[in-house]
Amino acid sequence: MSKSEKKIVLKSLDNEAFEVEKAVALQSQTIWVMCEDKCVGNEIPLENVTGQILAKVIDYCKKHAVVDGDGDESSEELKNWDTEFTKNMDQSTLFNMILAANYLNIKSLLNLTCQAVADKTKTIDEFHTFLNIENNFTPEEEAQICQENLWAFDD
Amino acid sequence: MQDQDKNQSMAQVRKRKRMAMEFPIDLVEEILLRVPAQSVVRLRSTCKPWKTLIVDHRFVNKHFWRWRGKEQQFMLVNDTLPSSSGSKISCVDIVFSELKNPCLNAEVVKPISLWYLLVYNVYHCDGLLLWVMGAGLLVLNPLLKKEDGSNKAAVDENFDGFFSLPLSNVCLKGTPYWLGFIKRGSTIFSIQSFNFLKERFEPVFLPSSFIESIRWGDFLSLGIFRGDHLSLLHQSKLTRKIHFWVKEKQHWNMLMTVVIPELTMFRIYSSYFDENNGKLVICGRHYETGSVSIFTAGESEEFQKFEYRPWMSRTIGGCYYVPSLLQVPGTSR
Repeated sequence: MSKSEKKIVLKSLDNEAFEVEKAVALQSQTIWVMCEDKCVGNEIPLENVTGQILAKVIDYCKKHAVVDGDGDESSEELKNWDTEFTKNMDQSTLFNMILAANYLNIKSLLNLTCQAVADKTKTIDEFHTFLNIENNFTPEEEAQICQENLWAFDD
Repeated sequence: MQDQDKNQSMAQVRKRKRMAMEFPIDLVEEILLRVPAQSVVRLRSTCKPWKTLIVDHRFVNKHFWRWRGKEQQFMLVNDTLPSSSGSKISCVDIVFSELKNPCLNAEVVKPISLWYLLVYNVYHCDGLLLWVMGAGLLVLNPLLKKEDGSNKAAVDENFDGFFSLPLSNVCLKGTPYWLGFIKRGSTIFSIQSFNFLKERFEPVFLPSSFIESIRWGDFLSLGIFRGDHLSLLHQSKLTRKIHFWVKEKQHWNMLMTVVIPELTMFRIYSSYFDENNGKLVICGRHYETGSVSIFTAGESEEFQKFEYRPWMSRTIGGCYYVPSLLQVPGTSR
């Protein structure tokens, strides 16, 4: 395999180009399928991911890639790295990471980011802020649900 | 300058609104599957699509199977005080998140329709609870405020195979299992299940060497491992070691052996295995003082004791419990 074949260029929504090892990029099932089908050249345009998010996704993939027997990280170390990786992410980054992990179809990253949201977000208000959901219940419906919730493990 | 800030924040709000529209419900599902049932139940009032998702049968089952065997398990303690005419049912769990210093957390479970409550026994099956009371049976999901009082108890007169009352019982995927000694010429140890299709009791396979290792006076308790395997806690009266067995298909494997010297002073009545921490959680009551304690023990021969109730109470019983979003059969959403 020539050197150029081992590298691949990922291009973000805002036209930022990232050259990465193929083994790193192929953790994305979406990219894997694109490469298998040979429907793309060495440059893959990713229309749903910004450069800022893509850089983080690539960081993750680099850490998790097993390149030429280089993957001697212990699972404990990897777990700690994952924790640190999501720990200081703000909500909007986390939000976009989930969308990117889903679009690129990287199961372990989707799991990690969804778990981080589940751990960080506890109340309805926090979920409302995170996803900016509009509460579309009528006041009567909301009162009824609140009443139901009251009973759950109350003293 | 202020106007500029305001404009920026408005733009942010608009941007987030646009993002929210793009956040697909299947990703919401991915997140909610990772949120414990107690919190999910409160998130029903987030918005209509979420409520539809959370009460959906498919989601409820997926959530239950994801959380069984995880740390969201509780010991349910049924406590009847001599001075009162009612029972106090408490949900007790070990909070392992503070790894070095796990603590005990107790909450009282109170059903709506019963101010007077005398509960003889509590059982757990796949996220639902059955309370046996003087006035009948109650099937309930304490999380969902759903309950169904029923007097349609079927009493099987043929339930006479056991030498005395069964020592322990559990329910796994709707099938009840009992453990006890039966008379077959001599008195032997046996686990029986009830097949509802054939309407008869069936013995669970046990290797003869296993049966022989169990002696009269040993402590035995059935449990559920990872939500889909039958498990057995066996404390030998002679060695005082506690063996934890798990049934996989037709084989019983001894998963771990722990030693808690103090436990010989206790009558044990329920246990579960905490998968995240690899620890057995055992609830027991002191033979003499009546105090109730919860022990956690792992392979390393270290154990921790948490005193739950220091004084004597008249009756006490319990089971382990996994909170779920499952509907009580026969009730509406």
